[in-house]
Amino acid sequence: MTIPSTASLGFLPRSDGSASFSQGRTSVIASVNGPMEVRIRDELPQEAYIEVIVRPAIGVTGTREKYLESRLLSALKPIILRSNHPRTLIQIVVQVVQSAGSEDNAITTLLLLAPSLNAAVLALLDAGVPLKSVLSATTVAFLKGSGKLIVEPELEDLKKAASKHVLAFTSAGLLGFVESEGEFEYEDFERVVEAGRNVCSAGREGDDNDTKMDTGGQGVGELMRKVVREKVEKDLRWRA
Amino acid sequence: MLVFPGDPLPSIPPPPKANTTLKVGPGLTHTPPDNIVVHKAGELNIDERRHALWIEGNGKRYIPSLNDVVIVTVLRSTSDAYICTIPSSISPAPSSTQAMLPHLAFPGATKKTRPQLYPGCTVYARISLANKHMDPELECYDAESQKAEGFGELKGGMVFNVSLGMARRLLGDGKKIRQLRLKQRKVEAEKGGEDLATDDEEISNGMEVLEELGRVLPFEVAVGRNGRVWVDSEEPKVTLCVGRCIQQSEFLTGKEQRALVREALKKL
Repeated sequence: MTIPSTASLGFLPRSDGSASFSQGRTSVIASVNGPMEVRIRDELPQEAYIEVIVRPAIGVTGTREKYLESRLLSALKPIILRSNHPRTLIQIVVQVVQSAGSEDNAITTLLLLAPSLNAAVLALLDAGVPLKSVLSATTVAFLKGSGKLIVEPELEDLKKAASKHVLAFTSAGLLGFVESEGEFEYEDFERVVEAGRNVCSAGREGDDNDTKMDTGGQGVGELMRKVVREKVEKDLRWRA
Repeated sequence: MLVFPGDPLPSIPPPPKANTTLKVGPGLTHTPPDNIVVHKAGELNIDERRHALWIEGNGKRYIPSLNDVVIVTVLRSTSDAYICTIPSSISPAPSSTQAMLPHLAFPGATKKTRPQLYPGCTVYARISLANKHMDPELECYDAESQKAEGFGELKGGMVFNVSLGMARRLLGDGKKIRQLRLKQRKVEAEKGGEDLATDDEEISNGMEVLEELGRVLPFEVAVGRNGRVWVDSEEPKVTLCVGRCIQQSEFLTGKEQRALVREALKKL
């Protein structure tokens, strides 16, 4: 049985923006601070400096966290309007709360990537950092023998999979980030992208959401839109 | 209407008069020549009469913008200016923006008669220079009348933190939005051929809490757009009561705010 994804927004009172996201047995918290004063050595004259810090659930930061940081940075950097706040720092901290597997291998790291990215994007939205678009990410596993695709797989599914993919899409359905591992053909990759897009792309405000419903519950993109909408509605409640 | 970063904007209604420039407010970025991008999640507002559009949201981090009134803290004094910090609404202000308040930026100040401010002083000031590439500058007089008009050092009292949206409401922005909403409703009702019962009470202006408190209690209040509210009165318990009521009415409607104040006054 799959555990439905959950997300929440703005629960850390001391940070500008915060969000939590859990997918399956993986759960992370992200906080965003900024734009704020930057260390002199990081200062960029034309744009904001973006710092991503990943903190593990247990132990100290190692190569695995550094890898996640670099992946998150490459996904988030293009969607942040950095030129709006030159000579400042935007700091994104991702704290892993629960990791799907205890063993320190590449698969659990890959499972952390999509929830971390989703939490970071939600925290950026909560903080009001200027963004070009909203990314929502998911993991897809491709099983070689049967050619079956598993969206949002569990750890066991990933162990059997021939290739694993983490994909992020903008709300318009454009591919914004890919991280793949394993062997696969190009045709299979196209199917993977299509499956990911179905889950990630959200129905716009006022769009007909009925077509999305038959994918089995709520997609990641829709979930993210829902929590942000709830937050904005709460903020504007006084007017009612 | 709720919009997200990257969402396409609805078609903007044509200006009421020819040669009116479109005003693009917070939450939107204009990329030349004529592309407007949503960069913040929030409610899209369109004022047809003023030909303006902006996004209404809430936040904690204050970004200085021209002519905003803010409550700042003096850090130190240099030979010709006070170096101040503009704290945001989150309580400790690490790495918050620094601003310059020239010694002569007070009404009628000369080198000999300038007000003496010390590190830690709370000052109510107006932003006279805001630019993303430079540190902001402050002034302690009104731009039109060149008089103090309430600006200057805030002596005594207590500073409370509120969200940026709440600070804007307390400064009367909620009233403007309410008027806009009422007008839009009227237009819609006329289109539908219905008679609109003008019920002013229906839409809150977001600052009923201040109106209600001011009716009963004597106190002074100064609101900074950086999410700080300074309150002073004869008695500390009145100051605390006012500050707490303001902080608690963040998510309350007009009616609930009135009820909150009534309860608080009973306890006082």
